[in-house]
Amino acid sequence: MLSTNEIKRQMQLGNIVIDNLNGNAMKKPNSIDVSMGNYLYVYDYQILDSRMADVYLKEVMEDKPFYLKRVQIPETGLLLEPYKVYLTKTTESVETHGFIPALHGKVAMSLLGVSVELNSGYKYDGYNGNMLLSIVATKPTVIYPDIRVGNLTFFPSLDTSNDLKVSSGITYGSYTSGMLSGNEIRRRMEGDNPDIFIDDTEKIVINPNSVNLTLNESIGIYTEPVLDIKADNPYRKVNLEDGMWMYPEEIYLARTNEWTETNNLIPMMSGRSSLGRNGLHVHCSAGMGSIGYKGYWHMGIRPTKPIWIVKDLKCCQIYYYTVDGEIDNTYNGLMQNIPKEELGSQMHRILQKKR
Amino acid sequence: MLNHYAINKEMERGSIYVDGAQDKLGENFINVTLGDSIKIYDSPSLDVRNPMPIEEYPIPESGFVIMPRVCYIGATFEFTKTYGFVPVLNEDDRLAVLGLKSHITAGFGDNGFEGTWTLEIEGSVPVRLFPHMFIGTLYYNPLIGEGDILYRGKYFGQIEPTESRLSEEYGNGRVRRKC
Repeated sequence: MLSTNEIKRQMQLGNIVIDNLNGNAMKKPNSIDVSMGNYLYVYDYQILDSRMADVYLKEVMEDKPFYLKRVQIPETGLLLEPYKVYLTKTTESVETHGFIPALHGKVAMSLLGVSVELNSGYKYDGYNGNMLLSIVATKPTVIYPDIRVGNLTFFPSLDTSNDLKVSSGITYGSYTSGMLSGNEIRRRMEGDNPDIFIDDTEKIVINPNSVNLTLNESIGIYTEPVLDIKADNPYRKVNLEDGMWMYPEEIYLARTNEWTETNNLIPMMSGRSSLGRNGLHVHCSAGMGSIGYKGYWHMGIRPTKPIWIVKDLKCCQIYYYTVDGEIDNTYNGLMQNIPKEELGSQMHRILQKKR
Repeated sequence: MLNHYAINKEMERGSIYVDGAQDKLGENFINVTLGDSIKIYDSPSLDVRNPMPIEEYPIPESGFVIMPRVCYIGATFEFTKTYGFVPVLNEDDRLAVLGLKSHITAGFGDNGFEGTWTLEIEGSVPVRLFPHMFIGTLYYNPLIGEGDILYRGKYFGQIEPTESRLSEEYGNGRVRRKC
């Protein structure tokens, strides 16, 4: 994944073009802030036919609604209802030559139970246009116009490598950019200045290309039935103890037991397949991390069906991307400077920041 | 992530395999489709430690409507093998526009995994699905470092939609029920 420094360099070379880019959008070490405008498209239909997907997509991307209905988001806010999908596109448009744009929803939105891209963020080399935003709320949530909602990242589009490696009898190309293997993760945890630090190194389970982290017993539950993305939505803390029920239509704030620190790499959080198969989301959008992030991993847990959860559950996995380009700053954002026991979304602070 | 030239070369080398990939190759990804059947947990609630009864239904040509608040487990039609790369299943705008999730987790796979990809299908609104419909795009991240740890876990070699085997970690077995 490209560092922001490298994104800037490629923009100067003309290989990455971003229109409508906000001046303050390039403060993070490996991503660019993207935002949405002041309108949404909604469906009138009760049952959607998957064969019509291309038609609906065209209506959104070209702003020519026919089956869809356009809804304005007033300055006073619009209430997003759960079990509905709201469509729009990013204010920014992107064009790439040799790079793959990938959009991730902001953690702050995910902790409010709002997904903005539904795991559809990866585009392709040669992409040219705005990016689709597919917004789904878990609880009734008030949304405002012209807000930052996503992190845009870039990957190099790699051509064939003729450097070969052999492992377990299989030959494959060796590349200089990618994701760390389990062995490499373990190697980078060693030494005096490790790239990867995870509290309680002895007990860490390392998978083929990720590490497992476990669920801390402290869970936050928002107290208001309607969330407001501009507000510091209050929540109460409960302790998992021997277990608790989690219900759909609720978003549960949680964090990992393990404190992690990542240097020179980009960590990404993902839920575990075994939990996903039980309908348990630990994050509404992929949990994109940043170079230099130090802290627990925060999750907005959302079940599809009522489910009994126990503490110390292996709840998520962290993957590590190598950095393409020079690193000139490391993460020093909102998640870095919150008190350790804080679980809530910091969206209200993002919205207070100057644009 | 690999471009289509690199994906093609890796398929020649045998490190990447996806059923019928030649017809499904995109700029930086391989398109995958939905398999023939779908499973639904036949229980009002779930418990991570215990296996829950599950029913399997074929997806008819006329379509299968999925409803919100229900967990559906599907599988890709395509059997895949990946060595030396971390495959990632991305949903694509064509599914996001319907509010449809085909993968509840972020979609990262494992080096050394062989099998169909399990899909945790969820709709925010009712959506009619069809057999062999487009269900996602597979991207490939090269593996950095020694790739000796291969995926040989609970779901290795799976073909049909496979429900959670998390209960095995708690010492409880599996419940098998077919309709």
